[in-house]
Amino acid sequence: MKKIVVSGVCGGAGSTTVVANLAAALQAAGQRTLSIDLNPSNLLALQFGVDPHSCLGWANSWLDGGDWSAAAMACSDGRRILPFGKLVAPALKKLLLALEAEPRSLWQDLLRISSTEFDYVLFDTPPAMTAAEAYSSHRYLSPILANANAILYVANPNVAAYTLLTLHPLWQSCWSTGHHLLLNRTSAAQPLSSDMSQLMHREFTAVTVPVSIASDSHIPEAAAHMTSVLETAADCQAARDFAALAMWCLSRD
Amino acid sequence: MTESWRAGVARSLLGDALWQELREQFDSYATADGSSLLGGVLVSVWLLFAQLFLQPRVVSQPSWQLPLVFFPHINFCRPRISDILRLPLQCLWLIFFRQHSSRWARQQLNAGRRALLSPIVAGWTHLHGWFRIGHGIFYRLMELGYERHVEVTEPTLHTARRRRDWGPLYWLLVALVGVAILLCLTVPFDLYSQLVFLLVLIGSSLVLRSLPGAFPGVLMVLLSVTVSSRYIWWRCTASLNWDDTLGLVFGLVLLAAELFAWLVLLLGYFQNVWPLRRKIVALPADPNRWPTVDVLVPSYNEDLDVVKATVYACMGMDWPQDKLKIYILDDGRRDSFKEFADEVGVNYIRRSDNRHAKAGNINNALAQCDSEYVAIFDCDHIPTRPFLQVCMGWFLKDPKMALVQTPHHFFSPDPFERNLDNFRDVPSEGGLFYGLIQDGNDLWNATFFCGSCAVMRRSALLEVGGIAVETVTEDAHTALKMHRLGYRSAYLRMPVAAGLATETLSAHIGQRIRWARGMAQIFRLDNPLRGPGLRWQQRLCYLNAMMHYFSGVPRLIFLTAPLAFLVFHTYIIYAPPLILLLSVLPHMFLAATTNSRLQGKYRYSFWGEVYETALSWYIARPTTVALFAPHKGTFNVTAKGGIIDSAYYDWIISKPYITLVGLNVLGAGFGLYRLFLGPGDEVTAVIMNLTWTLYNLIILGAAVAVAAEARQKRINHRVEVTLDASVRLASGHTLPAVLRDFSLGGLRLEVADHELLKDQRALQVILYRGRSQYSFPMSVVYRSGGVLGLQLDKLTTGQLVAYVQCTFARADTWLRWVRSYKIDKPANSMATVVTASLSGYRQLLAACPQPIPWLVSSVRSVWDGVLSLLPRQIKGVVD
Repeated sequence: MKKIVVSGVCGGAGSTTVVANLAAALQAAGQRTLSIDLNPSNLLALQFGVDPHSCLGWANSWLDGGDWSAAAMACSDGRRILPFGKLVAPALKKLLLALEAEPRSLWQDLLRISSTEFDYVLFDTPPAMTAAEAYSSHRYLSPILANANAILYVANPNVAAYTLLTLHPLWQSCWSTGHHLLLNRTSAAQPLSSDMSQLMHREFTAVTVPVSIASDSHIPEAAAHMTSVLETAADCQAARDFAALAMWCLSRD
Repeated sequence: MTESWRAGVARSLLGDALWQELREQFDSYATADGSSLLGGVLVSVWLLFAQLFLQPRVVSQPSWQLPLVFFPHINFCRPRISDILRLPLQCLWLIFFRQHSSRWARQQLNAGRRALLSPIVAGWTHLHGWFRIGHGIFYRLMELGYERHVEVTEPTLHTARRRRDWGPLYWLLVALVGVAILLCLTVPFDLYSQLVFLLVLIGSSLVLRSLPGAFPGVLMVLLSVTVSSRYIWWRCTASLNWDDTLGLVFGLVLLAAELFAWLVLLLGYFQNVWPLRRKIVALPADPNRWPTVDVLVPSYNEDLDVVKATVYACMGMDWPQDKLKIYILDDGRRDSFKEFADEVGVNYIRRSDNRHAKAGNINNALAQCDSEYVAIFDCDHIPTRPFLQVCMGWFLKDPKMALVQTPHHFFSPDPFERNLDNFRDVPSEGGLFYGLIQDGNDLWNATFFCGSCAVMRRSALLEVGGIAVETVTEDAHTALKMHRLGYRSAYLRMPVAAGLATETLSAHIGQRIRWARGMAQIFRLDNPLRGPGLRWQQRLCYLNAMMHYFSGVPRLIFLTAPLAFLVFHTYIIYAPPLILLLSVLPHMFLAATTNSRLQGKYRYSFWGEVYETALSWYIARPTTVALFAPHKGTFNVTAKGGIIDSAYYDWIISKPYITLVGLNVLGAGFGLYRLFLGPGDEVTAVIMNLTWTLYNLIILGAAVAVAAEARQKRINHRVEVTLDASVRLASGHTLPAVLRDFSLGGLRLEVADHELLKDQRALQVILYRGRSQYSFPMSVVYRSGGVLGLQLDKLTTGQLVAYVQCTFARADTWLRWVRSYKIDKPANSMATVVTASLSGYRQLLAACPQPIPWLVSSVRSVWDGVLSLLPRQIKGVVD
């Protein structure tokens, strides 16, 4: 089983979309995938076709002390999703406090349910989860980050992401083996975007994933259909990019 | 209506199921053009009869199908009068000849072949082992030689080697070997031993040609040289008729041509037997240590669009921008060029006169620019991005390196390829020169400048006084002058630039006339055999380059030689036919197989003769004139990049071919007359000369075919490729696509047919270059299914540079082309030449004034009619 953490460099970079579509591409390549939402906003489930009104998720089960696997759901294409669930503010506070106290327990539970049944487990984390940041503000995530086979930091080719990556001290020391930068929504048609992606490719040659995801209206459209882009438009550029990304994941060992 | 009425009656009579069955059977009889009344009745009656009275299967065939099986060439639904003949003929054929399935015949053939070949195969495997060992040793030796040649860069090396004292033992050895060779070449054979000699040689060359590696190739060269020299010796000493004046004159002329061919064969072997295959030398890691380069793009009368692509590609070359200066050298003094240069920010040089044409133009620019190196591109040669990085390493490694030349690769078909329609199937005329000959020259440090796609050291160039102006082939002459001063040259066989080939046969011939004249001029004014500074190997390489252009007269002699016997009835080769055959066959066979082995990837068998024949008449005169009066003649510019509105036959350029065809047909007529009505003891000689005439006619036919100019619609040549791309619509939807071809004006894409593409007029095309992506606004010109024809919109200079970089200037575009040619197979090659030749004669006759085309088509239809009467082999019957 391989564990891949996907995290946005800053908010809105598209990490949730990347998880949903990468899972679909891996599944299409014959891999069994489980996607786990670690983000309290609980938006990942939406792209797996889960009823938006549903409140179920691992967080609820955790608090109730119930069975986690009951919260997992299967998509028609075989992808499994474990949503975060919807928690009211006091419950969320309680959960975070409990996790802070015992960060490894979440990890062990996750490991138990997923170790045999799946080839790939994808984690969607809140944005900007560098290891250093996780230690300070979200301690419960640090064992997950530490044990992941790969961490994909999703960035859009824009000035904000570039500034953050090059100048912010949090990002100065975060790159180690298994950490990768994935450029999302690249658009050769826009000169700035094109220049920024070239620049980021050059500055981060060693860590950048050789596949980048093209800006393609098919992606938000697929999300609107609550499914992956491979399902709604299998022959679009984004679908091909995600397939290539899946191949890249498979080729790394 | 009547049909359906009749059908209704028949259906009600027969019942639905039977009707349906008969209907289907009838349909399998009917062809696309339906059936006639008689045919319909005939077939219906037969089907009904078969249904009612015959068993369902007869001789393992459905009985209703029997006529179709036994008379495959008769259309029963539309019987013709002539079927009255076809029917009995086929019946006789079926009765008297056993019919076999094609599989049976194949099995028989394979069994026979196996029985015949198994001892040969066993022997071959055995030999193979020995040759592997021999090859290993030989290869090691040659490699040592290579290292010494390439690695050592001190200019004193060659003089030092010359001064070494070899001692008397060495000369004794040389003398012994010389005597042995002389004996080998001059000892005469009787008929029987000559036959044995022939068989052994043919057998061993057949074994050798299929063995891998360079060593068997060298052995073949040795065999071929021995045999050809023996042949020439025999021709000189024993095959001239000294008693018949006319025969002697003709015989001497033919002998001279053969001596020339023999010399060229030997020189060619010397040049090509061990091509150097030089590798690239890496540049220093620090770009600050890279030298400065001036890129010169001379132009005289070419279209601005042609020049634009080259300039954009030059601007996009991977080289530090502050060390790269681009100059357009405009001899046409056109303001549009100056405006373009100002607009994109390159230098522009114009001069007041056109003295010495291109050479003068470049020399004029040399005085105004100052970088350490000069790269020269004809304005229609587009360099790829890595051009300078590929070429410059050798200059930094070797301080005496004055010239690095790369091949001229053409992405448009030359007239041979276009008019014979074999573009990218058969290696082009230039393939041999740039694939093999220049590489062979490189081993002897004799690679010469070809006018474009090359880099030169400025100091060396200035030392020889700039580009040579004394001759019209300034390029080769400049290189010769630099070699004389002890400079070195290098050839890198990598297609790192590509350009347009000449458009029409007349333009192509015009260009070759210039080269031929220039080479003859150099031969007279600065003969490489004389003068200081060259090693004998270099002299021979230059000599061969010139000899190539003197081949016009000898080729004409070969094309007319059989007439001497057939028409004038004089023996130009005075020998019994059998001895002649036994002497000439091994010579020709070994020369052909050896050349096929050495040149297989770059020139297919027999095509060399076609190219030479097409040029022979045209270069014969200028070379002869230049040989005697080297200063005569004018310079003509090669026109490129035009369009040919409609297909036409070039009667003017093909005049000599048609004359030669006429002469050979005349000869063949005389030959047939002699064959049937002449004395019986001459038959062998007549047949040999007729065969020669037939071969001449085949080769001439291919030349005739080249003069039939095919249509050329586009100004911008399309380059066929398969590359990834994507299309972005105005709505933000992005679709993957495959780039099928590109030109300067636009491109063709294939998109998995998508609803979204409907009604799209404008879109963005994204092309990839390494990890970078570039987007270009384009308009849809046409769409059919998933194929889009797109036209480039107005782009900025930066975008245009990027477009050229993503297409023409891609480092890998041309590499794939070069690898795609298959190894030569002489028999296949002969077949393609014969096909080309037949189509040449067909086109020639069709282009003749009436009534010739009418006569031809009538003869053809009569001929086809007679052929259609012949009985046919039947298929599908089990033995």
